[in-house]
Amino acid sequence: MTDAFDHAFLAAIDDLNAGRLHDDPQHYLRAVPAARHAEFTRRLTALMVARGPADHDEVTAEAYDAALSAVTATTAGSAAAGILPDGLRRLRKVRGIERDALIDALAAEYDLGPAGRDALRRYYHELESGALTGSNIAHRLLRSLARQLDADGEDFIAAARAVVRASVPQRSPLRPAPAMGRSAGDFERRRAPAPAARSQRIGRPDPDVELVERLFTGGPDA
Amino acid sequence: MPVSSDPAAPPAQDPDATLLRQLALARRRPDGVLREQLIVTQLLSRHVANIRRIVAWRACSQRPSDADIDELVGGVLIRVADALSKEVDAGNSITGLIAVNIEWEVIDYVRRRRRRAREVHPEIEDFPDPAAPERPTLADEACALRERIAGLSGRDQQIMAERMLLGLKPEEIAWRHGVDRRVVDTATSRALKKLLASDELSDVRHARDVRAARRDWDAQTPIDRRGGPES
Repeated sequence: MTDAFDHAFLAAIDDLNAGRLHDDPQHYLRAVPAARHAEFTRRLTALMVARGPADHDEVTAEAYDAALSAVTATTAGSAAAGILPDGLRRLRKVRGIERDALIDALAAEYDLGPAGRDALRRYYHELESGALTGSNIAHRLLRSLARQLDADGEDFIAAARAVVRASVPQRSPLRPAPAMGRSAGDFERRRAPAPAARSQRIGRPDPDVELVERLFTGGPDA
Repeated sequence: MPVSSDPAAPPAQDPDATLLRQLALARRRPDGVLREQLIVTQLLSRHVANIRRIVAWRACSQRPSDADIDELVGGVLIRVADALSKEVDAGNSITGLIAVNIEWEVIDYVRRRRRRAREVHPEIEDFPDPAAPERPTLADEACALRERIAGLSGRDQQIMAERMLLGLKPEEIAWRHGVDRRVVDTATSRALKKLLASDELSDVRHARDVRAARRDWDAQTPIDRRGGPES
């Protein structure tokens, strides 16, 4: 013979097992004498702790975001930008690589002229400051960064994806830098010199600058 | 003995234990900074739904809003992330760490609510502090529950472990044991009564021990109420 307490307790356990535990504890507590509410709560929550996560507890995007927000809150980085900015700063420090040296290496890898290098410096500063949306950064750039810092590119890609979505501010792209002299050898420029020259004549940004913008804001495949 | 988050899994396959091992390895590498944070995020995100359920129950006497519960869950996650950022032992119990931090987050929340209530209604007298030192902690209770289930005999022990810890449905348990569903219900009720009874006795014993220890301490060390032992 079960009493009201046992009956409600087993009902809560069976609902928990079936993945349909009622959100409102009062749903179960109203069948339990008020004097035993605290005991009921104590016992049921002890059981939840002992069991840990249930099989039906999917890791939702919201759960991941909540966890990421907490991890980000314990680091010095910007909360909205996730863990990449702080990770980059710490990795550079560990490797003893100055920011300018990293920018030079990237500029050389992408064969950027002075305008492109300036844009690279500005965007990289925004990246480390947590002002960029990590998921918009091109994977090839993330792999380049990882290579320069002697780290795993896949970690960089995963970290860039890990952005606290609810609080990511919408930012407008950087204003185009004024066109300046360019170094020779840019792959894209060499392939299509005419459009680049035309874009300069009509006030459009330097192709190196465009390339940098694409790398930092054009999405994973840019 | 660490508490596994998945009672069905041997320790080597427990996802938390695996992630904690990976975390310890990442921490040893100079370039493991990002991986470390990704692993902690993954580890915490597995527990968010359970933390939410526990917090909603632990704080239910305060009738928290959904926003309050979100804030409490966030607070627990930050406390656990902070603890993990300082010390990682692959043998650690993540569920124990979570339980401790849920308890303190809820206690702080209750204190905040009461402080605010007193500011609005100064005529309200002081409530007892929610952190009662003689009461077993949530982590202690979870640990004791497992031990008490393990202490049951024969089929009662199996049925209780399957229903309460492994989360099997009564029909599944009946099928596994080749018995009628009503047999499972009867066995569960009987075992539950035994558990509650042993738990009550244990609580009484524990409270008595704490009181006795305090009496002994007071007798040996007269305390100046303003602070510090009397000289």
